[in-house]
This record gives sequence, C-alpha cells and structure tokens, in this order.
Amino acid sequence: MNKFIKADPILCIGCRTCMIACVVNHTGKRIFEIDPNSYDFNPRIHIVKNKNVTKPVQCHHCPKPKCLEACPFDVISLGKDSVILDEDRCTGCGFCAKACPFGAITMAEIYHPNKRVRAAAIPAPDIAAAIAIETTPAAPQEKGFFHNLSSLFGGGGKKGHKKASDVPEGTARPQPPVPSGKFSVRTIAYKCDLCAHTDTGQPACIPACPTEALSLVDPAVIAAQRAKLQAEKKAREGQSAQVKL
Amino acid sequence: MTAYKKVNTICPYCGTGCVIECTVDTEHNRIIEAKGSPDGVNNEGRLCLKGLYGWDYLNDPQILTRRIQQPMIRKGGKTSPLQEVSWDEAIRYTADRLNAIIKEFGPDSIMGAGSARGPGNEAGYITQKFMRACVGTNNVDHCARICHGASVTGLLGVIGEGAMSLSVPEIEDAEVIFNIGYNAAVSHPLVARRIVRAKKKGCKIICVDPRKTETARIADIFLAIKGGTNMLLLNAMANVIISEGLTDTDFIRQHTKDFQVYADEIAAYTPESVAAETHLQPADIRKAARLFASSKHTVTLWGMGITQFSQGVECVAACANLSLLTGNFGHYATGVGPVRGQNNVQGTCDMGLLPNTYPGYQEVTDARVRNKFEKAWHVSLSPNPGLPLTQVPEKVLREPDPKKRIHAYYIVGEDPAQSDPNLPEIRETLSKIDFVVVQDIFRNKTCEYADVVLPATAWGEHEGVYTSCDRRFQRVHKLLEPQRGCKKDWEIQCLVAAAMGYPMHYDNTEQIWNEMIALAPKFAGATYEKMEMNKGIQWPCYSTDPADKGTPYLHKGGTFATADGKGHFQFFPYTPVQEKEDPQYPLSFCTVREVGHYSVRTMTGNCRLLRTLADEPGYIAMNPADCESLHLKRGELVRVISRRGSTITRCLPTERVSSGATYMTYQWWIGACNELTNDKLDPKSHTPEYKYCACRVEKIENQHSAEQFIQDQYKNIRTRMGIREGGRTHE
Repeated sequence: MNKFIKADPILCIGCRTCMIACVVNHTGKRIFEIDPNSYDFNPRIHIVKNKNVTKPVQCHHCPKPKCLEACPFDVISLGKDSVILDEDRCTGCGFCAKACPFGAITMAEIYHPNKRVRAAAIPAPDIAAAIAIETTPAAPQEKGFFHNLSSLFGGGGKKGHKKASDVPEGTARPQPPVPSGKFSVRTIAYKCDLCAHTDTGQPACIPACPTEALSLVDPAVIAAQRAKLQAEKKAREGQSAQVKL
Repeated sequence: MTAYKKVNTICPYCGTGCVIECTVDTEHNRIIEAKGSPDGVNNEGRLCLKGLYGWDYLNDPQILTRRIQQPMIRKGGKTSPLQEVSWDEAIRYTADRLNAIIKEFGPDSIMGAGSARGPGNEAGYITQKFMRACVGTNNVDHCARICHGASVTGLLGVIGEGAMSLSVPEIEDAEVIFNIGYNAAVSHPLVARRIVRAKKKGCKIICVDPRKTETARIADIFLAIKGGTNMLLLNAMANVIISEGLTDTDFIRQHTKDFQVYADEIAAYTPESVAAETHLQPADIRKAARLFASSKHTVTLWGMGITQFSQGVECVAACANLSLLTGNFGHYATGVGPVRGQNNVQGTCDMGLLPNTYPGYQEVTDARVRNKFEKAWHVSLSPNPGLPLTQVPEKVLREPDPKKRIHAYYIVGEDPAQSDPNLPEIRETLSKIDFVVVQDIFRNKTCEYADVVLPATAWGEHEGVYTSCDRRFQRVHKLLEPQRGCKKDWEIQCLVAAAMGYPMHYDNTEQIWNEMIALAPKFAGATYEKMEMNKGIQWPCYSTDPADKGTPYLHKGGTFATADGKGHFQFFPYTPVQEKEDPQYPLSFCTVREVGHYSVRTMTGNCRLLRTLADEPGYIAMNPADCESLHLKRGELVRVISRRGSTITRCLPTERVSSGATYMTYQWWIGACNELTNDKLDPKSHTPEYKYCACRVEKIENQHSAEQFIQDQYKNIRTRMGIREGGRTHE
C-alpha cells in the first residue's frame, strides 16, 4: 500500500477549501503578490457533488495503478510509497485520465508556465519570456470569468487535450502567441502528488479542511500501530497464561 | 531579514467568530498568510476558505472594484460624476446638508444604516449615537432587518430574548439536531463542522429544507418541505408531541405560561391535515416530532429559511414553542440557535442599531432608560421608535406628505442596491432621496446613487470588538496600516457630528467601549481586559468582577428573560406566502448563499483565489426535469423574470432541487437575483420575503450574443467602479 489522502464523505461539506489550499501550496506564497491573472488555478483535488454524495476526489496512489498501465509515454511510475507522474514529460494525451477508476486525474490547461509549472515543451528562450509575463501588468483578464466553471459543472476529464500524434517527440512546438490568457501553452495530466515538491512537503489540503474530513493514510504508521496492538495482545495473553498457572 | 509578526484577530465574514492567526510583514505592510488559531473557542484552529484566503483584498488587486481612496462629492447633482475632495470639504458639505434637511423637514426625515461587518461594535455604537444624539432621530437600523430580525422579534415574545441560547461548541454534543431552513455548510462552515462532528458522535439529525443541502445529505430524517409551509410543519410537530403525550409536563408546569390555550389551538394541525400542502408524509412528520421530543439535548438551528418569509416572526415563535414543550432550554447542549449570519450582526443588534432599542436591548420608549442616555449624552432624545430600513422605499416613493418623507440616507458599510429586495424599486428610491451618504471601503452599487462617498478603513486596518453568533465579544486586532486617505468609521461620524454642532471625540476604541458598557447592564462586565484573558466574553456579563466570565448558555434552570421569568407559548395559524406561482410565472424562486463568497462580494470578489471558484453571472439551480422541458442545457445562459424585474444567469440542473423550484445566490452584479425578489414584509419584523416569489425562466436563443453581453456588462461595471482596463500595475 502507498500513502494517499483519504476523504470522509460524512464530514465533507463541499466548501472547496481543499482545492484552494492545493493551488496555493503548489504555486507558493507569492501567489498573493503576483498579478491575479498571471497563474493557473488547477487543483489536484476536486469536490464532486451528485444527488446523494459530496466528497473530495483525489489520487489514491494505487499499488497497481491503472494510469501507469495506460500511459503510452512511461511518464507515470511507482515511487517508494506513492505514484509519481512526471509533469515535465507528460504530453497531455489524456489516456491516464480516462483509465483512472476514481476520476482523480484532470487534464490541466496551462496558460501561465512559470517556475512552478514545468514548461519543457517551450524552447529555452521562450521560457524566460513566459516567466517575464508573470510579473508585468496582465493582458485583459476576462478569462477568469468562465475559467473555473468546471469546478461547478463537473471536474474530471477535460476535452481539448492533444492526441499523441499532434506532438511528435523531440519537435519544438510552434510558438504560441504571448499568453494573453486565451491560448493554453500545454495540457498536462494533474493528480495529487502528496505535495511532494512544495515548500512544506506536506499535504496542504489536510490542515486546511474546516471539518477535518481529509487525512493521510500512511502504511508505515498503520504497520507501526498494528505492531503495537499485536505486542499489547501478546502481553495480555502472556499475563493470563501466568495466572492460569 | 524581514521580521514577521503574528497577530490574532477575528474573521470578518460570517458570524462563527473564528480566531485567525495572521502573519504580517510589518515592514512592507502586507499580510503573508492566515491560519486558524487554536485559541479560537469556536473554530479550534480551523478556518474555511474565506478565513484562509479572504484577506488579499487588502492588497487592492482591483479584480472587481476599487478601494475608495479619497472622499468624493457629486458636485453637479445626482447625475454628475463623483469628484475627489479633501476630508474637510466632505465633512463640511455633509454636515451642512444634513443640518439643512433637519431644519426644513425635521430629524425624522433622516435615515441611518449601520454596518454589521468590518467596522465593529464601537463604530456601531457611534453610528447610533450619531443618529440619536446628533441628528435627533431613532431612524437607525441595519441589515438584521433583512435577515434575523424576525428571530429577535419572535423570540422576544416567547422567551424574552432574541439570541442563540447555546454556544457553538455545544452543538457537537447535541443528541438531536433539528435543522430547519438553515444551510451551515454554506453560511457557517465552522458551525457545519460541529454538526458533522455531532453526527459522528451519534447525534440524530432532522433536516427540514426544500433542497437537499449538505446537512440534508447526512440527516437521519430529511423533510423535503414545500417552500413557504414552515408553520404547517411546526404546528403539526407540536400537535404530535402534545397528542402523543411526549411533553415535558414538569417543565411546562414550572417554567411556562399559556400552554392550555396553545394546546387547544394546535389540536387542528394534525400531520394528516398538513401533508398535502407541505408535500410531506404524515408518518415522517410523526417520526421527526418523536425524535425531537426524545431528548433533553435537542438543539434547534435555523436561518433565513425560517426568517425571510412574511410569516417569519411567527415561525420563529413556533420553533421556540417546540423547545418549551420538551424542556429543551436552560442547560448544556440544548435550546434554540438562530445562527446569526454576519461577523458582527449580533453586535449591531447589541449596540442598538435598531429603531426601537438602545445599546443592550433597552427600549427607546422606556422613559427611565431614555433619561439615563440623555444624561450620558447631554442631549434630549426622541421617545418615538424609528423607521425600519425596509420601509424607506415606502417613505420616499409613496408618502404624500413631504414632511413625513425620508430626505437623507446615511449608509455605513451596507449595499442596499445589491442586497435589498426588489432592486428596481430600490434604485428608484435611492435616486429620489435628496441626500445620500455612503461610507464604505470599496466602490459598490450603492455608490452610484451617493451624493457623498467617504472612505473608511477596512477589516485588518483597525481595532474593535465583534460579537459572534453565540454572543461572544471578541477583540479584533489591527493588522496593517490603512490606505492613505481612509479614516476609521467612528472617527468619520465623530467629525461629522462635531461639524453639525454635537461634539464627539474619542482617542481610541476602548474609550468608546467603556462608555457603552457603562450604559448597558447586560454587557457591563465585558471589559477589553476580560475579553483578552478569557478568549472572549459571552454576554450577559453583568459584573466587572474577574470571576464573572460571561454566560455560555442562557435561561439556566428554565428562567427566561420575560417579565415573569416564564416562557410564553404563542400559537399562530398558518399564513401562506404572499406571491404564489401562476401561469405567467410558473416556478418558485428563492435566494441562497455561496460558500466561497460573502454577501455583496465587494471583499471576496477582490480576493484572487475566492473569485476563481465562482464568478459572474452565477447560476440558477433547477430540477433537471424542468430544464429538460424548457430545453435548457447545463451552463447555458438564461433569462429569469419576475413581476419586479429580470436578470441573466446560467442554468444549473441538479437533482438536489425539487421540480418547480429555482434558486439563485445573491452575490452577483450581473446575475443579480434581487432584481426578482419580493419586497413584501413580515408585518412584525419588517423582514422581506426573499425566500419565495414567482418567476419564469426563458431560453436565450442567441447564446453567443448573450455571452458577449455578459462580458460587456462586466467590463462596464469595472469601469464604473473606477478600474482602468488591464487592471492595476503592481508596485
């Protein structure tokens, strides 16, 4: 078993604080200082509501991941205690999102490549230009308007991802227009990475949830608990055996 | 290396009263982050998305609207543009115009609205003192009028006191929660936390709501009631409790009056007789009533689903009756919880921003009390109760005698052009009032009708005290230096008063607070010091003795705040809603909330993360079958029309909503649902019937031009709010 974040649907109230905490932790604290329209809002945890259930949906870091099986580019691998998706090498084909039985993978549209989001598909000089966009006055920001209606109208499996054949490996992409917010530079599969490369290194959604609906399942912790309980049981049996004597 | 400071303060959004630990960069005057403080009695170290991420409006990112930087006057009359002026000129102009209107039409021609949000209790005290002592009228009110005003009035009649009788932490120890017309998950996430924790501890939940809210989802009994029929259900539940012998006879005998009269009237309200109109099964009503009566730790929670109806006051009384019947008052984890919405709406009631009470719930008609205030304020005071703010349109548009009309409206931290019902009428009213002063932090819709705009400091930029929904006075601490050009709300009104000839001067908020508690016996012992030492003080706190730490739950031992100390049963027959569906308007319409935005959205709309989750033009939640019959698809723009007006928004089909009913949130400027709402009032509390009116939804054929319209409107609004296209350059 790997580590993963577990959600309790009884405790979830659908407030989406977890979604924001995820974005803030992955973007960094500067998110509050930069131009409000210069970063992407792509949470890796989503609140899903249907008639009877409200709950967060996030990667379960399966021991035998369907996403790993489905990926044609070997971009997904098993880590020590998690499932790792290499965003640098992801081509945005979307097969993993389709394969995930939980719907935990979303195809994120990247409009603002910055130092947090790998922009490997853009040749080096353009990365610098792209990063510079972040700190200068933004172009018209109507995008913010329609942008995240997806969180209301259904989260996973966005359309519009490129098929593998559109992006032959090793070819430089055509230059996108300077990001005016209207064209995404890349599409990347996003899933919970347990906040692995963030400043804190710890999942941000768990402490943010107002009802404590989220918790970390850690196999090492469970194993230690089990060992402790077994030791206690043995000690009790040992005592009662002595009494019988 | 910059030194960061950690400052505890109270959240400016809802009434839970969460304590926030803010990390502040004092050198650059910026907030770095906000976390839940473990010192928070109600929030225990947690916050919701608004507490965590709702502070970056202080950086003035100009996403939706701008901070007001300088006082402004419309020098050329109502349709001329606002021009920036100096404080001296703005104060002088305001004072002169108010004095002139008082001279010509009398002090009662001026209306004052105080703020239940950022300014805090001390500023609220000053607002009502300004209106009463300086202007000379009791025409002072605030947004509780359109909210829990019905709770205050309703509970006054039954138990003598209109506040939450228990504390927020006690909710999680309830054995039964009776949740009616209340959606904690969206209005008070940290109260919702207590509800879900209660569930985990084995509490049984009865949820009464036309929609399947988050609470309904986890309820043991979910009564999907037809909107507007609350009284039928409440009376039927009382009927079951009485007829099946489930009453607490000892409690009734010792602590209540008028039971027999009540029981006789209730006899007609059998579950069978109300089933058809409530759309509920009699068996379910009986189950709910039996469960309610089964415990001495039954907590009743209600919100706008009870109060924002023309029978709101009477339904509040009906709720309280149930607790009286079953002995659910006066001990730990029981009682009634009208969960006050805003961060300081309990406070604005406490501070007497009400036309009929002074600070501390003392009646303006009580000569002895009035005398006390006259001595303290060195002025004679009006003995006549003032005007509730929901009656201002009537006193402007339909009052034949000019001497009885409202000629001036001084509005502090409130946005009636967004949040009052029947917006077309509100706009007409505001245009016709001779002199409108708006004292606020952000440009908003009401500013468009202001003759004078005065920039005040925002939450984070000043000190004060807020009262949480459970009567807890808590200290609010300053985090940042205010924007240049802004003054504190209480300071502004003191300057205007002085210019009008009634000098008011204070050096700090503590002076104001000490003056107030000396005049309000219920709060007399709640000093700043005691608040700090005890993590807040819940009123009543009568003594300054450190041993008096306030009162977590009310009516201990069954002693109520009525004159005879007893709870009074009050029976009311059912009155249907004022406007029902008809062939022209075949759907019902109701206003609801959005968890990530707050009220009129001038603060949260300028918080970059909060605005990402939900944005214009909002949506109308409808049953999928209704969407299908109108050929509407999810996300499509639609027109919604009522007898009062129309608006445009997106269709959201959801199975959580019954067929025939529609719901919109009231945050949006383009998808403004109050264009539709009914301004018919509850006759006793003057609260509008937001929760029920009739509408129709129309398909818009040309979606492309509708989308373009939305974009244009948005651009238009931002321009009118003073934002230049392209947004602001960050320094």
